[in-house]
Amino acid sequence: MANRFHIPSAYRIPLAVSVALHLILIIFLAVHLPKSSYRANSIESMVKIINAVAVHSNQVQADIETLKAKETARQQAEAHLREMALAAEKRREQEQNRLEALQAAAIKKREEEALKLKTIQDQAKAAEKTRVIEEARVAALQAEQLHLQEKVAQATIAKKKAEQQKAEQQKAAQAKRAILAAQKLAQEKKVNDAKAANEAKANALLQKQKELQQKLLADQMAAEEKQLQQATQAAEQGILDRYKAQIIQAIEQQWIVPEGADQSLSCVLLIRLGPNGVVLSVSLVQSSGDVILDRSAQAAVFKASPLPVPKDPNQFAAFRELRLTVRPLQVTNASS
Amino acid sequence: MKMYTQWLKIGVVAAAALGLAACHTGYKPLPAGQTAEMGAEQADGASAYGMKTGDGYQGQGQKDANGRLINALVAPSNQTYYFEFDSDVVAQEDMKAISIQANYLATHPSARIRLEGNTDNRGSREYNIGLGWRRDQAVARIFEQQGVNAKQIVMVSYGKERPAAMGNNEAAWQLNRRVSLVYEAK
Amino acid sequence: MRHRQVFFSLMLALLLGIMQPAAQAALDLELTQGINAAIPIAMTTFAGPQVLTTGQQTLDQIIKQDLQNCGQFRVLANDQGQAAASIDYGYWRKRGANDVITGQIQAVGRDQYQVTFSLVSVFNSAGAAGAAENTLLSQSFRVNANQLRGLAHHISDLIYQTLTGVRGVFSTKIAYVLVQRAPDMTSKYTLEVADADGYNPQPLLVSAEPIMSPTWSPDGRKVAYVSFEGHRAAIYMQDIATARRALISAAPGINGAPAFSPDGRELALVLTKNGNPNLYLLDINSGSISAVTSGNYIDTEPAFSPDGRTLLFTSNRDGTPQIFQYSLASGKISRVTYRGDYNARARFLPNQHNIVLMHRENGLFGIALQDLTNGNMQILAQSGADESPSLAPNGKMVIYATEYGNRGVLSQVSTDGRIKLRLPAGEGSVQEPAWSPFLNY
Repeated sequence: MANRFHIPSAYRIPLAVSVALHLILIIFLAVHLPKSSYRANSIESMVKIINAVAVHSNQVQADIETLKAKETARQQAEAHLREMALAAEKRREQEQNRLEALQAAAIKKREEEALKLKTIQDQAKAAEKTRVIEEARVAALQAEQLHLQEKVAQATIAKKKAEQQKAEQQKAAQAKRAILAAQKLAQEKKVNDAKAANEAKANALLQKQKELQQKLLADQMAAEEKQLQQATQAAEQGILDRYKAQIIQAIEQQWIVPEGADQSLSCVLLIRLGPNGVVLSVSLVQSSGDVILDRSAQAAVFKASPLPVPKDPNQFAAFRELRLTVRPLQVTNASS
Repeated sequence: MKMYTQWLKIGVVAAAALGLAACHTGYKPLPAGQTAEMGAEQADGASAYGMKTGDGYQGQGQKDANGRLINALVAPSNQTYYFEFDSDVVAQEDMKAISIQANYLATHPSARIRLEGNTDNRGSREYNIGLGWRRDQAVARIFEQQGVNAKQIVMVSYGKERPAAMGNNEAAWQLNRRVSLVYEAK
Repeated sequence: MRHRQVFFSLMLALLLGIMQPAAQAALDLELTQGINAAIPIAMTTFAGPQVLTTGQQTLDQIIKQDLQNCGQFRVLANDQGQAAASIDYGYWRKRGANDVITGQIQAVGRDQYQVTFSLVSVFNSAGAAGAAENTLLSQSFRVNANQLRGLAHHISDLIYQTLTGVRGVFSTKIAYVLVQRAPDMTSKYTLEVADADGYNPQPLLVSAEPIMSPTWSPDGRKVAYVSFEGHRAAIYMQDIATARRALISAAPGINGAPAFSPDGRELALVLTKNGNPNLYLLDINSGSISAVTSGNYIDTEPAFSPDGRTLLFTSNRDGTPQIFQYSLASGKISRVTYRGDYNARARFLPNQHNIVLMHRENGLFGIALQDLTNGNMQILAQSGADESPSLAPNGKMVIYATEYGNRGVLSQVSTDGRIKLRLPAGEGSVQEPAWSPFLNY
């Protein structure tokens, strides 16, 4: 009995070839070639194309139409967005005009302040004038007093002489008269002494009066001088503070505080100004640790340029360099 | 004989090669779930329930003055039971219709119904799935009390996903607060 | 003697010279208040051929749209096609821009483009070292024509991150359900995935039965959703790239509200195993299920916290729907919302101490933001029909569903409440948007 699986020799080779071909085909059909990647080498992340699964041929048509409709809708929305952008631009320009008007008002105010200072100075001059007049009056009083003194002194001397001569003439004639005369002399001496004393008192009183008057005047002058000094100082310090406040206000309006900025952080900027308040440079002296916060503060200073500074070169000198500490403690909503 | 077998081999290889080519044209076979779903839906809609006027209205044609579907008092027939706002209490007037269907189900153990719970369009979607489910439970409880085996009742809640009427007013809301009873096997 | 005099006078002069600068010190000022406004930046048309990408937009038009719509920037446009070397700083300073974006595009090879862009500051800010640093960013790319739109979004991301310090979401995606209703109330439901700006919609699933609650896996490669195919609720997980899907849960009754854990290994979902809609946890690999809540309530809409330790969920266990929090370690449940008579669908922000949710007050449904540390609630939107809020992965923007013109549309609002945007609508009604995570592929 021949082996069921005995293959005639003529068929062996073709059969082997046929089996091999079939095996290769089966392997090909079973194994899927890997798909090519959509990943590009040069960018980090990108959109992966999603393989859409269409179910119905009708559906594809419907989907194409819906996509088209979506397109037109989107384009309309875009146009709408463009219009809104234009409107926002307009509003921003209006805002800029308002800010300029505010600045002009500020300048006007400054001029009024200068005028006030001038009137104070005029008042000081007037006070000076009255003081000089007072001094002259005091000198005149003094001269008069001296003149009176002389006269009184001369009078008493003359009186004394006359009395003495009378007493000497009467002495020889009568002893009583001499005693009386002597008594009279004594009495009169007393009276004269009293008179002299009174005169001296009167002089002393006059002197005191004069001194008091002088002191009063001196005090008045001193007080007025002090007031003048204080007024000048206050005016100068007020100007300084006012400019500082105006500078802060100008930068405040430009400072867009980053969202979620840590309130405990702060940075320090060194600002150099040129005449007329032009911002020449803004250097970061101390970073807050948050680069976005630092940059927001720097941008704010630049955008607020030119900063309001005094026109007077002496007063401006104090504003050449500003050391600004920035802390994101409060945020208000922009008015636009 | 040799000639025939030669052509046979060539034919097989050619067929295999064609099949291989088909794999590389880019045509993607559909996932099984989707085609089955579409096929099943068409089968359901076309044959089982006769007059088809949209999902949820399967088999019921007549409506009352408020637009509500009227339940036929014969079995087996699809039904719709309506509910008050925020309530899962079955209306008293539906009890008769329910007992007719319950009676049929109790006497036909191979019959099976599907209860579809629905709500009006107010509120979150998943929470409304829960509300629709409560309405299904209320109706199912009555059926079970009347002798229907729980295995004959399938419950699904559509929440607000399948409104019968559109609109943000009571006229539409009262038409959506419903449980639909659909026979899956009669 | 004379030499000594000269020496001493020199020393004196030197001393005085050193002391002199101290006489004029820098004036100290403090700035503590600023404004909350959009950063003004300038965008110039890119030099080179006006290549139109999908959607009939040029590269710079897409970048401009991205930056304008996110609410953080006010984009000033100019038609000068300038290369970075010739930026007119004076002109841009006058127009009030802080930074300028310029670029150029060049055709190279077959259907390929070389794209270069620069982000430059308009001010010469000196750093501590004193060197001027104008150019904040400058990069070059080589891409195929069909990758141009994606590249534009990538450039927007780079610019956004450089200027705000926060990662941009312009290259992310949104998933949503599109419903097309015929007059006889039959409907077609499509689960679509599109770019974050709404372009390039791709269907993942088309069905005649409802689709609900799409949610992204943490790696952004899969979307899980509820489908009512065959008149039964079931949860599927579908791979975006291959469109292949796996059936995850088809228990009798409700299979709903799937939510991935942050490590992508578990899915929180709603089942009615005990007759009531309660929360369960499903291990995706093993398929094993464990119960989270129980009781005769409606518990639904679970959402994991970013650290994976707690779950937010909606429950009517206190009467009306409110938000509760479940601790996975202790099993303790605590109530989160007390304001309003309806609170649902809460989601955590990445910072984990804020949540965004659907909230009703005075009969109006809206979207609210609640601070968990102090319970304060802020209404972000309240049209009366707002629902399904979903957060961008950088926590800055919320996308939600609302009604407009008798159909469902998608809207966006920033979490600081500053900007509101409605996405352009196509045909049909759109609902249940889900924002993808950052896509690192």
